[in-house]
Amino acid sequence: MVRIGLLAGLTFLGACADQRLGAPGQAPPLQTTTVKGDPYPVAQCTMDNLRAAKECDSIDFGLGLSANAVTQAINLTCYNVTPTAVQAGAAFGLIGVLIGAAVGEREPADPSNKRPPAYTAVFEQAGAGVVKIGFWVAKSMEGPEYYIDKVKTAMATCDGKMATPTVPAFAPPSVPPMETPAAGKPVS
Amino acid sequence: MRALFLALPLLVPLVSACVDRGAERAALDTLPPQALTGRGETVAVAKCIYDRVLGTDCKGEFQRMLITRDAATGDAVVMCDAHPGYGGATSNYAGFGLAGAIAHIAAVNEQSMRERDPNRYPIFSLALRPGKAEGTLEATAWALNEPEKGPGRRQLMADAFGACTK
Repeated sequence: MVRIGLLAGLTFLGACADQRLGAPGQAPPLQTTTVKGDPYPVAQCTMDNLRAAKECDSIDFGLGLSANAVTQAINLTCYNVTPTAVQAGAAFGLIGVLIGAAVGEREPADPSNKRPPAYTAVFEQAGAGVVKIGFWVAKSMEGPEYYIDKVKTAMATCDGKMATPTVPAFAPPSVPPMETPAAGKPVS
Repeated sequence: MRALFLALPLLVPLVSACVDRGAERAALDTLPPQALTGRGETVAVAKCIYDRVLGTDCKGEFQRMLITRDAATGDAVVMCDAHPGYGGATSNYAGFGLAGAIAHIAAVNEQSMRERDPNRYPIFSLALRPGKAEGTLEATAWALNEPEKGPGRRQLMADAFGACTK
């Protein structure tokens, strides 16, 4: 019974997820802000606070950190992890969702998940000890400020987090790098 | 009911062929790369070019501007990537009744594997690498030869490089 309830929830959220737009690379950030510190420790601390507050932690959404291979910017992303098959099945009602849940698997919360995310915050070094944060938020019923406020609230206690000398700021071992394919050439 | 499941393996390739953008673009030609030189620091120039180009082109639902690194050459690359994953589930197959639903879901599920494909699908790009002399940069502007758009896009990247290395 619980499973049916969850699936009905998925149906609803799956339908909403289709309307999501707005990610880095599509447009400039909706809003930017700066804090003191280094990008990786501030991003990691923000993600820990969001997790502790159970934000972006459901059967549909999951948080992930990744580092850009060139700019060293850290992306904190709320990924859409609904199984694609469930999202597709939602169009056919509960029975479609059931079939989707039977064949589909949860999408990963890492850069291999390219689906339109719920929101992304990009943490970039903007000078010594200064982090610039840009926000992108998908279209949603709550509006972008709702999500930006959540991330800013989570970030409040992270102001001033610096990289400790033993942890290289730009080579965090726990952060999966962006995929680095042979770009600049057509890939067939 | 059993017959429906048996028919699935036949239906899925038919449906997925409709959404195979990779094959579509492989048929397109590419323009010859354009070599450029300038002065500057790789990461700063890459960010500058990205900021200049963002919002001028590469605005489709399946397209994103990226800064990434070419694993093979080590070049920093600013590019417009057209990946099937960016748009989310897109199968537009509309069948009849339960069989249609099952075929649609199976096609989208198979498609989700392709959406996680780590390859990039560049439409236009600029690859940057430090030049031999101190403080110089070498670059390669490239674009897919889409009718009427390709040459303009290669020029867009060449112009951005020129403006960012002044």
